Amino acid sequence: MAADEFKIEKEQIAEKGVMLVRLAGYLDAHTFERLEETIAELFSKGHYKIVVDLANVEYISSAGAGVFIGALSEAHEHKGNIVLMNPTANVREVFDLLGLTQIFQVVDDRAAALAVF
Amino acid sequence: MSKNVHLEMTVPCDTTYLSKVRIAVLEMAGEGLFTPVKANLIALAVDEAVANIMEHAYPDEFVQSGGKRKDIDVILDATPERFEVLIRDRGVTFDPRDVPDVDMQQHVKAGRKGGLGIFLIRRIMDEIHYHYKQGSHNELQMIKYVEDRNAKAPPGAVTP
Repeated sequence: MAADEFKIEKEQIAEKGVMLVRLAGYLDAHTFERLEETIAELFSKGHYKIVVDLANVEYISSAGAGVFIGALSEAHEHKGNIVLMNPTANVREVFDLLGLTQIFQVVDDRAAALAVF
Repeated sequence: MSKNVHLEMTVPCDTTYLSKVRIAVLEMAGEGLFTPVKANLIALAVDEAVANIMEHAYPDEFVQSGGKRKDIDVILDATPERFEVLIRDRGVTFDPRDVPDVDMQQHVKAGRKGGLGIFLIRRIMDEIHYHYKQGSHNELQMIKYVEDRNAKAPPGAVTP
């Protein structure tokens, strides 16, 4: 994947009305708005239980992490959550630096993600 | 890396070019100097600094009042001991050292998205210096030492 590419896929998981958002590529100040739009669209349709699959995210900057930070309290207000699944070493390191592993549920797989809800 | 490496690049004020800057930093910092995860963090610090300039250094009123060119210079210097970055822009003055640290719990509670770049830069780089050249440009200098200066000495080590 080119160093400025970013992909988003959505999948509704039948169990518990959870939406899985699968990301791939580079989430930075150039691409974060697409993720922001996706989350806003999910919220507007009443989807507040969101699992974000980060297994294929090669890079995240504060603009990308800011999308999750900005959305978490709104998800909580609607009895939902944003669960971060399977981050790569690079992404986990950034979450650690920002202190996000203390605030978000960060899980290794889908079963653990669904168990949060 | 056994020799010194110097690279200068100039990018337009457009976030499309962030990946180009990151690739240059990753190649230099990753080449025998730092682990891949650490090299990625240094690329992140540079990305954050350059993205801040792209987003904030050239507000409309600045450009309308005859603001100068929007290019950003990124100058990288690697030695076996340290990795140094100098970022130069010609926009409004902004000293990142004036930005207070972030209380993440409050940040999340307030649903705030931005303001995290400087916080990350401080956590990643060992030194941050800012200079404003009157009527000319801003310079942000950041240094990361190859040897972890905050590493704890092993048990029994003698401190000089």
